[in-house]
Amino acid sequence: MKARESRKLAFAKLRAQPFLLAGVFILALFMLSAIILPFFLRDPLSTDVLIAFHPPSFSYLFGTDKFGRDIFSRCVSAARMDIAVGLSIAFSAMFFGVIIGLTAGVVGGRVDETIMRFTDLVLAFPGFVLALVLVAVIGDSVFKVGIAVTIGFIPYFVRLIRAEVLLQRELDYVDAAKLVGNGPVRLALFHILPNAIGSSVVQATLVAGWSINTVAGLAFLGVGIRPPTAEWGVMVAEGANDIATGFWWTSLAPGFLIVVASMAFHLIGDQLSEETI
Amino acid sequence: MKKPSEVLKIQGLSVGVGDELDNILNNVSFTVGEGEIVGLVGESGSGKTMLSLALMGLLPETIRLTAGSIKIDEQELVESQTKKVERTPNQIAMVFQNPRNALNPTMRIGSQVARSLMLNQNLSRKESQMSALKYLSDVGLPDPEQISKKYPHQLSGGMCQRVVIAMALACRPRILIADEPTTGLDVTIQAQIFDLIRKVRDDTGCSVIFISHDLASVSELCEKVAVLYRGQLMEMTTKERIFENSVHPYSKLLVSSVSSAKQLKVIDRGSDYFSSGCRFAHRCPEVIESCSKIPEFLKLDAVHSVSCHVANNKSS
Repeated sequence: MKARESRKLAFAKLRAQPFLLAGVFILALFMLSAIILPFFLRDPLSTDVLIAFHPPSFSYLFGTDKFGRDIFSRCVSAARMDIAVGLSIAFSAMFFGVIIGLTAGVVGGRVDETIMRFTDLVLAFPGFVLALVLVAVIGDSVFKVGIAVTIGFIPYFVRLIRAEVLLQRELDYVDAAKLVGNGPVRLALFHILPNAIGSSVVQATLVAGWSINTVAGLAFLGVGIRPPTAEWGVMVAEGANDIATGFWWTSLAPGFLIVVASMAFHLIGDQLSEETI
Repeated sequence: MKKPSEVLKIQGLSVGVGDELDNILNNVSFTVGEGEIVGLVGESGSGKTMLSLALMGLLPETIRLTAGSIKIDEQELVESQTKKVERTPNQIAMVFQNPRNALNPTMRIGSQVARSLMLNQNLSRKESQMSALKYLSDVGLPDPEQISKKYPHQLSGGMCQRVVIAMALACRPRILIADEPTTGLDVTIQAQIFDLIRKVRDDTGCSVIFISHDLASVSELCEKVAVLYRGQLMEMTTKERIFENSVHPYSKLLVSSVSSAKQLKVIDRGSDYFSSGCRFAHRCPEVIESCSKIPEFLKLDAVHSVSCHVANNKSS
């Protein structure tokens, strides 16, 4: 009974925030189609020269590219990869960022100083350039691109969580918990962390949007994910050459989807941050 | 009247910030007997809270305990080398000034109390949850089962303070420090919390140190009163004596300022007047030559101690 009431309340709240609702709706649509549609569509890698550069039509919703691959099918399969990559980058950056930031904030002193200077060091490079260099060093593969982009985003979480921890640990309830005998690890994980993590969760949704942009951007430059993998950035890069010859549809759909996907995450993040702050 | 046995014995406690040795607390000594409720009064900045933090071992990093000893049941808490206070929860527990801040906002009431029980009474998780309900009903919360499932923001300030007291009691402390526990509460709740503190004292036999700047609540609750001024303990005696025939000029002025709604008479001759002497000298109406030396905290009789040259001269 209680659960249903609070669920009702949550829905009512959601309805009062059209942007949040829009973000959630777009994302849900993307995820559902990314999960289900590939089972019904053409193989995104199968080529057919006979139908190369077929303009958008009912049989090929977004048209076909120069190898006769179905762009709609490729876009859907790319959505699978991009959203998964975006989310996992956001989560792993948050995971490591929170651990590091919590350590810095709770331990303090020299440990804090070292961590924060290192964080500054990473932040000194623009995230995109850092990822570019890292991928060049550790090599190409979806996984390695994920790592490279994650490293670039970790410092944001470190700073956010540390600031929040410094704020929380001065509050009486932390002293109260310490006074009844809770150990330092328990204090950090069960008392300080739950109260400090809110803004990081919001940051994670924003980072998910950014990392979709970054990964696609890297792919566009030919770093990281390579053709013929179906990935939005790769597809835009491939299609970019065709625009001059009049085949505008080859890069339009994937480019548009990059924008919409990262926008969906930001709609959610912006609304949530207003809610929490 | 038989003097109750001493539970807490503080001797020569000094606390300083930075390089200073005793600018926050200067040579504070007093004892608290078993089951006594002692009020610690003084104006803002007199060191009341610092004294309680020092007792709890919670002094901020920049503020150090520089000298003195704190004994609970004859057991020394101050480490001789590092001057760190090592206390266990069953020696001193604390009730905080703002009950809302003293509870973790993301944890259910029940588990916060249960956690305290688990750590301090060697109970299993199940047992501590059961026992937490008992503690919640002991501090006068209605329907403990419902309340234990709630979060702090769902309770009123008075209820939160009861929960905080329950958490402190779960430690089975010998001494309960209450740092202005009723400042954030309205007067009727204040009276209820006082009753609760008295009941707790009667039930568990713990001593209570009640910190307040509100003389009215001190007179209502406490049996003994210690007066602090700028880090010096000025006078300590029974409640009746403080309010009726205190001997220290500061206590007299403090009491009269409340009873007749007058301001504390300000005779400020600059704060560095007698910089090494009695810290009240610069405002004291009865100041004499010897006030340039720090007066000793001397016993007038069994229940009355004072640190004032004037008062000591009169009595001897």
